[in-house]
Amino acid sequence: MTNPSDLRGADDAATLQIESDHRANAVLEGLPPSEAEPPAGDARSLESIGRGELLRRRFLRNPSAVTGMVIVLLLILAAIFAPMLYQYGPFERDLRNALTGPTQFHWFGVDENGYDVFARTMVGLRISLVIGAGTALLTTLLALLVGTIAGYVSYKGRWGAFVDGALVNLINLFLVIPGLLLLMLFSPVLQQASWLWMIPLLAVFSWMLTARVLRAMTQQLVRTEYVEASRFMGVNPVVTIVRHIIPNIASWIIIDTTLGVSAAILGETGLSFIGFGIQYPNVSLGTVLQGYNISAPWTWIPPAAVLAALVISVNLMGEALRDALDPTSGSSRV
Amino acid sequence: MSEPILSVKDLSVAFDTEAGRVQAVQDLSYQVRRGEALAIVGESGSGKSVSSLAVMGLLPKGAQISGDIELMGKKIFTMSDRQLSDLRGDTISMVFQDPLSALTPVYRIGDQISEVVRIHHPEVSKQKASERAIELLEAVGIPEPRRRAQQYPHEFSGGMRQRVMIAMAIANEPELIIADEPTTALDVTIQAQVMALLKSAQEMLGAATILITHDMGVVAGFADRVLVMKDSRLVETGDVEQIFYEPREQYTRDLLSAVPRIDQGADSESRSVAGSAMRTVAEVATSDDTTPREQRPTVLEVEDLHRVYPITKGAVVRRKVGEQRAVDGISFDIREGECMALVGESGCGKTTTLMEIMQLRTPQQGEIRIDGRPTGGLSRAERAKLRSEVTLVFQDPMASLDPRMPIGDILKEPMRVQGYSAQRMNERVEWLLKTVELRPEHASRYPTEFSGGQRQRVGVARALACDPKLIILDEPTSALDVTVQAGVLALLADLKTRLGVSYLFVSHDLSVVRHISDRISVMRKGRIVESGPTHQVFENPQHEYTKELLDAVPIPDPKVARTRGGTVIDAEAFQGNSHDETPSEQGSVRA
Amino acid sequence: MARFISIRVLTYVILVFLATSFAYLLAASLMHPEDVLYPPAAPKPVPEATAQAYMNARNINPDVPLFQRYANWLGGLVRGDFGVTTGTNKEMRPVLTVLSERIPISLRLVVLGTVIGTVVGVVVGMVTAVRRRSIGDRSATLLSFVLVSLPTPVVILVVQQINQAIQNRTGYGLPAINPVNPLLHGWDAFVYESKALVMPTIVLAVLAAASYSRYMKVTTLDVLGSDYLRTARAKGLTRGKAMNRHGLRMALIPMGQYFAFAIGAAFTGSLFVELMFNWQGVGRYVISAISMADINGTAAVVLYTGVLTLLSATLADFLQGLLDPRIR
Repeated sequence: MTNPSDLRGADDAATLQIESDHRANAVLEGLPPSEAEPPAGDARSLESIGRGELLRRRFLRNPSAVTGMVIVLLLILAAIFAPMLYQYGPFERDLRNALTGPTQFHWFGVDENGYDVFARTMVGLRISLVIGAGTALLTTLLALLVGTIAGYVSYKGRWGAFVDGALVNLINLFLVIPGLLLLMLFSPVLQQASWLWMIPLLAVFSWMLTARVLRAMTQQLVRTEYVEASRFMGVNPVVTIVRHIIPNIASWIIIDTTLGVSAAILGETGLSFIGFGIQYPNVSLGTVLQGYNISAPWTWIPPAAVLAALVISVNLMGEALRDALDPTSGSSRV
Repeated sequence: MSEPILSVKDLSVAFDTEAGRVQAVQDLSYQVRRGEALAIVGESGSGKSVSSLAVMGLLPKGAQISGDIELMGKKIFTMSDRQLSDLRGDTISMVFQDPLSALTPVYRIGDQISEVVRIHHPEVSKQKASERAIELLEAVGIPEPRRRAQQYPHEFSGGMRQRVMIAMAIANEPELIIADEPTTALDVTIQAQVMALLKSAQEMLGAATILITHDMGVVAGFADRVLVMKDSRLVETGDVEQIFYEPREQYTRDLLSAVPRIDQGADSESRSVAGSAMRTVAEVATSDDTTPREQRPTVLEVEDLHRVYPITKGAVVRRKVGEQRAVDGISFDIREGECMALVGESGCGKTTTLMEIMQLRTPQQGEIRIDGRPTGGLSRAERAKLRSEVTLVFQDPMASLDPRMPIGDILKEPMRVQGYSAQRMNERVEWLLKTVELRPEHASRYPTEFSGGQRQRVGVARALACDPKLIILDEPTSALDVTVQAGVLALLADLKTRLGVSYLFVSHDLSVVRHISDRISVMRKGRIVESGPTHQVFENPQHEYTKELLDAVPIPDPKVARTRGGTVIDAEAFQGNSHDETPSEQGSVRA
Repeated sequence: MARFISIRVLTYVILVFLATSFAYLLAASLMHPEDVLYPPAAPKPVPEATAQAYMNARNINPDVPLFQRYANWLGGLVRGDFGVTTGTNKEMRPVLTVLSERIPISLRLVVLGTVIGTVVGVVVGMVTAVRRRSIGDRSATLLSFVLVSLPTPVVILVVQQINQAIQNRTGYGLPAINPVNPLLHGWDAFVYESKALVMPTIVLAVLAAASYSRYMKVTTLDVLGSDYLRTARAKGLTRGKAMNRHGLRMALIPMGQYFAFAIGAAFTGSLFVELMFNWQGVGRYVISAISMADINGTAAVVLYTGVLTLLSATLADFLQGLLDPRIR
């Protein structure tokens, strides 16, 4: 709800539901397992490749994943080098050419304030990328902390149920709070200090849905027999979380973080667009879009296209990862 | 002989999966005649269910099918979905495996049954159709059918839902009923009732029946002919007597000999080959029995154990409205080197008992003593130490091993808690793997690379890791195929005699327990109703419930099995002669 | 069912109260209305006593302890008084009056957009799931994927640009901005307002439909693989009939939970729409309120969105209760 269009949220809840529903594919269930029994000998067969390797292969076999990856890499390179090499800076005014279309000097044209659209787009891309990646990591961390703790303690007696209840209500509270409005409150204050404040700020209002899913996944794992087995062996709870629970949700976390990058970029862009995000003397893709002029399409189409390319390719990668992890569920069918 | 209702010719079904094309069924041919009961038997992955879905025309879109299926002379592969749907539920009907998920959760039971009537007989009024639904519910033995018809599936137990499925299957008096593992998810007494219901429904309608199952015991009492499948192919087919008494193929023989049976007396007169392999398990389990029981030390004592769960209502203010006595004052003890079986149906409290023991804490009421020491007053360190002496083997070997950990690490986990040195752990891992008949090289592999039986061996190895005194076995073989089960049971019997470890074997399956345990306690509704040495309980059961349980266990010998069970379907109700007071259509005419 | 709903509503009310209080306290401590009212660089400094009286009248005096101001505000809230507007506008209009002017403008957008978007999304999601891998499925899925990857302003810009292009080409187009035209009266005004509603509604509906169709596709595919649908077909229902009679309802049940968030998302969407189409709705109001440090106005809008969320969540619970006998 925080971000104008959070791609993850409900999608993941649905994924989770499918993961929990082993009967989803009832007919194929009865088929012989595709992995043959390990041969008595030592020859390491194809089946014994690790899960990570399998993920990597499936990911690279997916053309849309590779396309997404290539585009993201190109955009990252552009964000790093383009501002260094291009002759205009984001705040250099060329008022004589204001509102002129793309030329060989101004690649993407000039907006009504005389700013060069290409220069601003590339610098904006830089900041949007940093904010996207940073926010996604921080969001995941926050969600991981709240989600696994709430999920783990929820079956541990009265005290555990209380802590879990408190954390769940915290999640719900943050869901009811109109995050966008609070971001609008906080952002101008913190922007005075540094634009990097945008990262924790966005993270604080976007961890809830991930935490909710992680809590549910942890609850499922806590009830599995292998976690119960470690309890009956006397293994310490923290060790259990680190050794048994986190490795089993790791791949999901990676996917969610990937999709979180695009969600954070969308959130930041929206905020900057209405003037409560990145402030002068910095530019983000949202601030570039802000200078749109319907009668001069080049003022908004280039930043919008770069933004769309970035978000779409990040999402392509995220969904391809999800497919690689679990071909029978989630986005492979969307 | 009458014309075949169904003839399947050279049926092959394949699916394209990521691992390449998977052949689910290959070159399968068979026929079913009017009134005949055919059993298709096979272990998991043999293709038995896929072949029956092909008959129904319900295979998923991606399936590649070749061959021919003729239903009453009509080739079903040439028919459209619409034409097929006219046959489904009318000429041919199906009872599915999992009654819990086979009914739509959001519609009333009565409406779901009357729907099947109205689909094929749209001329029947809604009113009449729901009356018919109530008659059908009564026919399949649902008490208070009028009230029950108004309820939703989640208010029905598993056995009741399977009865509802059967009611739907017989509603339009079909020519062919396919039952796909109809009793797999059910308790043994419920299984007996449902099988008897199916049998008498078949006899009443004179319909041909295909029973798909992995359970040879169920087959013996039901089928006229048997078809054995393995790895998507037909192995052998023949009359039920021939299959049970003189199987031609080695696989059939293996399958039968691995079946555990309760009538496994030393001098069984049954001609069936079933259970021959299990006899050796029993021999191993009881061979080394020199010291009298009384002189051996006690490993586990449970005295007057209670566990009560409060039933609460209200979301804001919790108030107790009742209590569920999950374990209601049970006592037993296990001596060194002994296997005690705790047997009962689902919900009897056996799992709760097991969890109470594994908690190693003070129970709500009563006392648990391990090696003579009460679990109540243990310090944290003592409890951690004791965790190495009492260990658990779980039911589902797929779920009890962390898929992200290599086998070696899984085995080391309990040793690490006990502070073993790295070298000692490595040595022990090697020894453990050898002990459970796996290879030491397997230590670096992940659980997914192993089959179910091998994983359960790893589970046993983990339980053995720190030289325990007592291993609690929670249905250790119920998730395994029967041939695999025999191997795991043999291993357990062997370990018991070799290592002198004691077992608490928790199971719902009397026939499995018969082969391995020294003593048996039968549990029901939180209490132990009967307890004693294994042979005594089996040969001379005292309690009514024990007798009922023993009677319900299917016997893998067609001659013996046929003498048991009676008619259970209410044919009167099925014909519409309802016993219900409210006048039904015919009822009012009669009056 | 009544019990279930009433407990949920109680929880929501508490959450909304907490959220609003939180927002008020934050706004009151982060905002500096005195700076907006009396900029330090003002040419003629206002006498201290005047300033104090001025700010006390509006309950925004930073010298009064925060919790005292909160208590005042809360007291007013209980009486149905949301305080008065502050900021550069010195009119002291009651916030409630301002909101009551603007809520109908916003709500018209939000409700229409959400309803159309939900219906379209559910239908598209179900059809694409049933006709999986068809050309229709592929294109609808691709379109929804692109749409959820675009920021709302870009979607608005695309719609506006298309309208502009049509107008340039044919001379006929929808009003680009402004929901009302003060020069028109009677029937003409109505026609203008209806036309002005088209583009904003399309934007909101398309965005909602894009995400809904994705969720609906997932839940429908789940249903398609379920045992009970197989049972329904084994009874003699054709594929389509089984889906309509048994599948649709089951697929809609999990959708209820997504619907709970729909209104909140629509509010965010409407904020951009109001800004870019120049609608004088709540979204535009809150943007100006925050930039003018209008504490009372900001808190009131937070309360408004909270109540909207509460209503949609309750509606979602109610629908779910209707569809699913298990939770009754």
